Amino acid sequence: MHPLYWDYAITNRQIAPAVNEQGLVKVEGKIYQFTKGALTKIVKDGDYSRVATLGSYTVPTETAYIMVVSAAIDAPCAPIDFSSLRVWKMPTNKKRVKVEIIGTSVSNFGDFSGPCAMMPYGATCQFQIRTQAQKKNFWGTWVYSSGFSPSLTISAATWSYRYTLFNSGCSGFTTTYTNTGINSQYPTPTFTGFWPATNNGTFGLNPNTSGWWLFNSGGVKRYITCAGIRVFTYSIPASYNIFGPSDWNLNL
Amino acid sequence: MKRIFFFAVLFILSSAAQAQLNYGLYLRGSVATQTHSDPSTPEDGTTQWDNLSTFGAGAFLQKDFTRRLGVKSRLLWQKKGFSESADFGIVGSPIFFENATFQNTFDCLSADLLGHVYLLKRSKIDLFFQGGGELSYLLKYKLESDITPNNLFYPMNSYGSGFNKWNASWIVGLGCTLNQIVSLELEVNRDFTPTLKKENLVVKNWLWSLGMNISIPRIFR
Repeated sequence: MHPLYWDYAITNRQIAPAVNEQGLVKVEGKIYQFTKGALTKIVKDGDYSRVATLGSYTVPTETAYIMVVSAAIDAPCAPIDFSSLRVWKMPTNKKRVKVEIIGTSVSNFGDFSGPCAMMPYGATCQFQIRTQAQKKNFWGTWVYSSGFSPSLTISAATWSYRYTLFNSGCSGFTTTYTNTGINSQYPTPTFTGFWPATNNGTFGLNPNTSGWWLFNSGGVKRYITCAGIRVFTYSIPASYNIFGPSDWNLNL
Repeated sequence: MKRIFFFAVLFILSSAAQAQLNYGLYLRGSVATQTHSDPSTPEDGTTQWDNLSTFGAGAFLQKDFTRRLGVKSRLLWQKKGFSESADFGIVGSPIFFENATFQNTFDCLSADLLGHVYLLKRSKIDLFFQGGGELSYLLKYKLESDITPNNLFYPMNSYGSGFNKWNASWIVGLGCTLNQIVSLELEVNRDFTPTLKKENLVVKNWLWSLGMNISIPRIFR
């Protein structure tokens, strides 16, 4: 006898028992639709007739009646991973190169007088291009050799990031910001660049910090970012310029 | 391992009480590195860090049993480790590219036991081969590479802590003794027990050393 299996087509399995077959649940007058992607769609006035229009929303946005956020898998204080890892490419059997994206974010810097999820007003974010080039030595081990440090080209890279500020307690959505508000000195999420030599490199893309982004105003810690910073899409064409192109299309 | 270490020290002390022993100071300069590999991805092979210049100092005790064969033991403090050269930058900022070299050091107290085979024995010069084992105790370590963002990636994201205090390695080398007073030795020292072993990371030390033994009794004879 074959077992009968049935499941919800939603990303966040934790809320599966609470939603219907369309991924819908109504809480305090708002209708929430959880999907199999990262998006959660919200009918703010709870009018069921607007549910039919939700399918047309494919990116985070907000209108008078609809809000679409990427919060389905961004649980409060849970790490977000948007890395794009790759395997080595070997232009010869004595050399190998690799380019990849390391992306992580988590929000939990805040007032710890309550549970972590209650008052986080800061977030880490690592969004890095990682470059490696190695040469096999006489002993058969791979080394970062000063004699093998090829150039790297990044061509017309694009990416988008967002973060959502919540009310205290992380129980209600307020505003989602896209490509704005983080490190305004270098905010441009487009890039073309050339490194003349790198064999063990780590190059940060905005938003990226070795510490915390603090979401406050005038020194007052009052903006709550429960879900960290998510780089939700990127396209980073990279070429390690060695023995012809070895290309990576690092994307999400 | 502790037992081997104990017997090595015992050998030094007990032998010192006997006559016709050679003993003295031992100094060395080394080129140190570490290798690391991920047992879960054997196809990635073994990676070796950059070399780090280090040194060591201690005492040796030597006894020849026949004209061709002898044994030697050393007790020394030495630095092992590796260096890492890394590139950093922030895309779109003035700090677009910069290079940093991290020095990662592991201070060890070591005792070794080596067998000697004399390949050539003359009045002014001896040539010999030596080989044996070493047991090291890790006193302290410093990992400059363990900083953000460098420690976000493999292997440094797994390095951090958990180094074995006791570590065993093999040694082989060639040397010569001049005027029965000074010996110069070129040797390689490689871990056969990992200094760090995790599910996805195995780290071993590797040293090339040029050492010098200075015989105290033969200076004053």
